[in-house]
Amino acid sequence: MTFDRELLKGSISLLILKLLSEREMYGYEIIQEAARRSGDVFQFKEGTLYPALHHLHRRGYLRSEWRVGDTGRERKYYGLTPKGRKAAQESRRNWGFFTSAVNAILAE
Amino acid sequence: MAVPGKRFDEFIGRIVSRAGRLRPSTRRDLERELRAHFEDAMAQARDEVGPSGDPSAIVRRRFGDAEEIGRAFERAYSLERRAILAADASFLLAASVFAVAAVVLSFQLSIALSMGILPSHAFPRLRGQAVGFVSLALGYVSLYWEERLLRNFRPAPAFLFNLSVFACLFALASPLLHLRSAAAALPFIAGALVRLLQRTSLRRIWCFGALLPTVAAALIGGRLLSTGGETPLWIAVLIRWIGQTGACYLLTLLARSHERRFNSAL
Repeated sequence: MTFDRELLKGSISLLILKLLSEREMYGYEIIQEAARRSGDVFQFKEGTLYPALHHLHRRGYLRSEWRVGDTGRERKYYGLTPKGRKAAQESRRNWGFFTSAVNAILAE
Repeated sequence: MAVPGKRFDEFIGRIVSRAGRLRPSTRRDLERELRAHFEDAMAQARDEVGPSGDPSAIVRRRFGDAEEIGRAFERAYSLERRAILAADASFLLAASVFAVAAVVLSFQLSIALSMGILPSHAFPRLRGQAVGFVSLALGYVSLYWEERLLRNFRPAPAFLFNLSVFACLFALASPLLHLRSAAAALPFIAGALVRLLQRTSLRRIWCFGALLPTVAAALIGGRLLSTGGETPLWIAVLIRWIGQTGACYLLTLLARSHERRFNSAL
């Protein structure tokens, strides 16, 4: 199944905030996790993730730190800040409203 | 054996340079993160294609277009870039004003001393001159910055635009600065005209950029040149031209040095 790229781009921040609300991850891990959970539907261009991560980081939603991960390599891990947690909850709520509104229209 | 991430250095370089001017620490961090990504992506792609395939082609395809990703980084760091540019522009302008003041005042002092005038009487109109120094530096530097920042920069329209903006600002500021004539605005035209000439096929005669507004002012009315009533008008024009041309030469050197640093930071 192919997805509209713009639709994926628009939802990337929501996905990042959701995944990081569960645990800290580095960029490639986020890509893998999103692909795994979506049954490989979310195979967006991997490069688009990093600007989105940096954008959220600059807005104060994420913190980051370089550390050695399970693979023995140094990776930049991202986690949510308290502001990011709030944003994650709010964006999930907004997404819920949005999808129910779209579903309501489509159902008619 | 080559480090896998190193194979993508040129690709990473394209992304980072398209992202625009970033702080060196941000740039290093970004390069390091992308290199780490390519290490992981290569490890996975190698498993997928086996020993005979080309994993790097898959990795690049999955990653996306360097130009597009670079633009996305540019947007993500737009505030940081603006802050860097504002600081850089302010620093260059301050250095330019200082350079202009140093050249003109030294020249003025040497003339005063050669005429037997005491150094304490060598600068009778220092406040108006200070505005002139800022005007000259602004005229030159504003065109220089537009060249750096505007993708479709065209010297002549930019020159006219700057002139109009400066005329409005000058009209607003002159009552506050208690300026009695438009004399302090002339150096702006001189600075901008010098830079304009330097960007055209007439670059060899850039030094006449400072002469034109001075001569025009002398022809319109000598009062704009404030000779003090004792110095013949043609000498006042000559002195002004030499002083401003010397200052513009220093501004040219400053701009060249800045341009080298600016381009190497991209």
